[in-house]
Amino acid sequence: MSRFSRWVVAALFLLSIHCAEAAQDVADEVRVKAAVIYNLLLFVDWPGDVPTGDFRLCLIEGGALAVALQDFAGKPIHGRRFVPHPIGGGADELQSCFAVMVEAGNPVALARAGATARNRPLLVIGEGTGATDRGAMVSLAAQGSRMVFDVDLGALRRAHLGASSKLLRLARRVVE
Amino acid sequence: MKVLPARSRILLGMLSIGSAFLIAFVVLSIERWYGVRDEFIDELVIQASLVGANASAALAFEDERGAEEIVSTVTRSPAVVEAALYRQNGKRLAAFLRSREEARLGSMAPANATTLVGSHVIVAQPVMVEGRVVGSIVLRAILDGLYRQQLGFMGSLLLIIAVATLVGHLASRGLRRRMAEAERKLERMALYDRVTGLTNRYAFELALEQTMRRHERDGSGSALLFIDVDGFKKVNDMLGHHVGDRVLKGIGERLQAALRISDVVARIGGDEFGVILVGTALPDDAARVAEGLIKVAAEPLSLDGSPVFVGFSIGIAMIPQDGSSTEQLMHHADLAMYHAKQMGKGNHQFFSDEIGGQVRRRLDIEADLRVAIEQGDLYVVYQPQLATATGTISGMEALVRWRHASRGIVSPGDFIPVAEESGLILDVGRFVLEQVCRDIAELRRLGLRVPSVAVNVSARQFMQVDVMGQVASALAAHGLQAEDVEIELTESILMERLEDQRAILARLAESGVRIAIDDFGTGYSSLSYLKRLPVDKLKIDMSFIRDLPDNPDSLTIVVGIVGMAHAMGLLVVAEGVETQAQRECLANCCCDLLQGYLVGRPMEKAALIPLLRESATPALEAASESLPASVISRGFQTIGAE
Repeated sequence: MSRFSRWVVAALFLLSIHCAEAAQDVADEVRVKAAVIYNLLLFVDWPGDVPTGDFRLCLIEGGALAVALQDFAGKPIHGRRFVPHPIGGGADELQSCFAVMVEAGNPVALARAGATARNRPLLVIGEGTGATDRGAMVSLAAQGSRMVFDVDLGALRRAHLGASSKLLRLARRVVE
Repeated sequence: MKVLPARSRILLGMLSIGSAFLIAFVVLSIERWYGVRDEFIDELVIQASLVGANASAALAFEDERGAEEIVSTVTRSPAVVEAALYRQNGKRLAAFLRSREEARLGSMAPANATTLVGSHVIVAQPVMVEGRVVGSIVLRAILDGLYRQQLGFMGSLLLIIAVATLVGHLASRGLRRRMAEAERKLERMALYDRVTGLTNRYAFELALEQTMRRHERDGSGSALLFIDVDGFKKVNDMLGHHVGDRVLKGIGERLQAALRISDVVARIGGDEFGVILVGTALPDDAARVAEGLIKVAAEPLSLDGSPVFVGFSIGIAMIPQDGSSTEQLMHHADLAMYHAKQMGKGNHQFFSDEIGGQVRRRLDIEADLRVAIEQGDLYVVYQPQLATATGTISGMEALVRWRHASRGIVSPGDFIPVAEESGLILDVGRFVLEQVCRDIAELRRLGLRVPSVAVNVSARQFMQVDVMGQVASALAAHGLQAEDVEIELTESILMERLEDQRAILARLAESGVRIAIDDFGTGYSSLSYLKRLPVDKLKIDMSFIRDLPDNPDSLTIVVGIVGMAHAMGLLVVAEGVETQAQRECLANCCCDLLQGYLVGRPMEKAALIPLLRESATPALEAASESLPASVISRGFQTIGAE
């Protein structure tokens, strides 16, 4: 083996390690996000006249997050079974959701979801700073290793949803 | 049964109350401790649950800052000194520790829900979200406050018990006082007389025994007085027991007031009081005290304004000379008192062997007399009365005699007073009346002319018995007439209750029974009653006859009595005629009848028969001087001087 090739192998190895570490970081972040989302849902109240059935969390084009949320599938939320449910993003599909998670980089879907939430109790969770301005009621953001969130209380109220004071207490920012 | 004194019983009661309080105190304290501790733990659990619920979101979101904020809210509860939130995996998320406290909670959640260690308690509660355990909250609280509270409670309890005991003690003071009083009363009832409040006989005997024993040691002496209240029976009978009791009480007070405090005064029964003059060894001193008491008694007792008169008869026995035992001393003092009553009441008498003998003899006589009446040992003798004018036996006096089985003939002077006192005179009187009537009837059947027979009736008989009825029935039983018997009364009786007597006498006289006054001239010599009473005969007392004919005074009296009697239409009998000179003198004085040894001694019925036969012939009158000889020569029994 040539000297160069050795360096390459070494470099590749190191790279592979780095890449593996990076991939690991990403996977951890998604798992934490999934846990935060699940926990968030626990501290939000839906009105009593919501039809029976599973507690469906819709995910627009859910990739890794959908997989991570599968860990919580079947767990109880407000007396229902928690079911993560990936959807395409059509307005009709949103009808059967209790909540919808719109990941960053999908402002159209977020706006549509926000619009739908005006007619029915649908919790819209967005991602990134400013998501609350574009239709999200709760927006998640990474702050170092921690996940923080902002809450738009006004939007929640308009959707006839309630947020537990415990949740508000933990929120980084609460918008009226 | 042994009775505990009041003080021991109260002590026992307090002991039992005390132990009851102690048990109550312990039980209440323990019960309260567990109750309060459980409550404290329950509260701690609730607090943990609350904090845990608040912290659920922080736990769920792993928000350390939020968790610490929430956990530190436990600071509001002063007992909680440490708190920690643990994740579901047991790792600590947040902790709070009060300043100056040592950390006891580790980085891992404790295994037990509740841990109680000496001075603190650790409570762990799961934190749930949607029925899912997301972690646990652990609180540690110190029990200092609880201990302080418990001490406070126990202190208050003790205080309450103390106060309750004190209040109870004060409240029951009245009750206890009444109990003690009742006990004292019982004690007094056993030793004190209820009517007078004085020592009773039992206690008096104890005191007497004590006194005797003391004198055995110190060689000194005391005086024992027995006091009988004269006239008490009359007060009791006339005014009732209630007044009688008050009189006794009054007398008791007087006795106490008149005596020294060291003297013992007791009511020893009925109307008798006993006194021990402690240390009064000289009879003269005792006599002075007795005199003083008699004087005190003489002052009338005032009951509701009306005076009651009583007197004392006091018997004195000296301790230790007059008896070697309490019984003997009491008996001797009693005998002396009895003697004092015999001596006319209102005086004192010392015990002496002579008095003892006399009194005993009297008592013996009384006992024997009862038997004699039942057994028929009494009999009647007759002493004839000679008419000076005719020389015939014109009357007889019946006299009772007692033939005692061992003593022989008992003198009427000995037994009549005893019979009078004891009330046996009523039986004796009835017997005599009955016997006389029977004898008259028998003699009549023999064909003899029997003159009227005089029967003595005592004052007591006259007052207590229906004499009239007795006489009438005795006469009727033997078919006799009223004039066959004569009632002989002493002058003194008639003076006492004249009005009552007069009515009875009037009825007797109406029925035809004659009435003679015995021992005339020895009584009150108030002649006015003679006018008012239906009297038939006067019997001049033998003391006037004895000195005839030589004593001019006696002669004058006899002449006067005869003159007066005749003027009032009464017959006169001279008693105790013993000599011929007396007989002649009396005949010259126109005395109607003579009675005495000269005429005839008292004789039994059998001896009367020849006398009555002879008397029926006028020979006696012709040879009046030969009468005594003829009568006496017949050997009439001389049974006793009258």
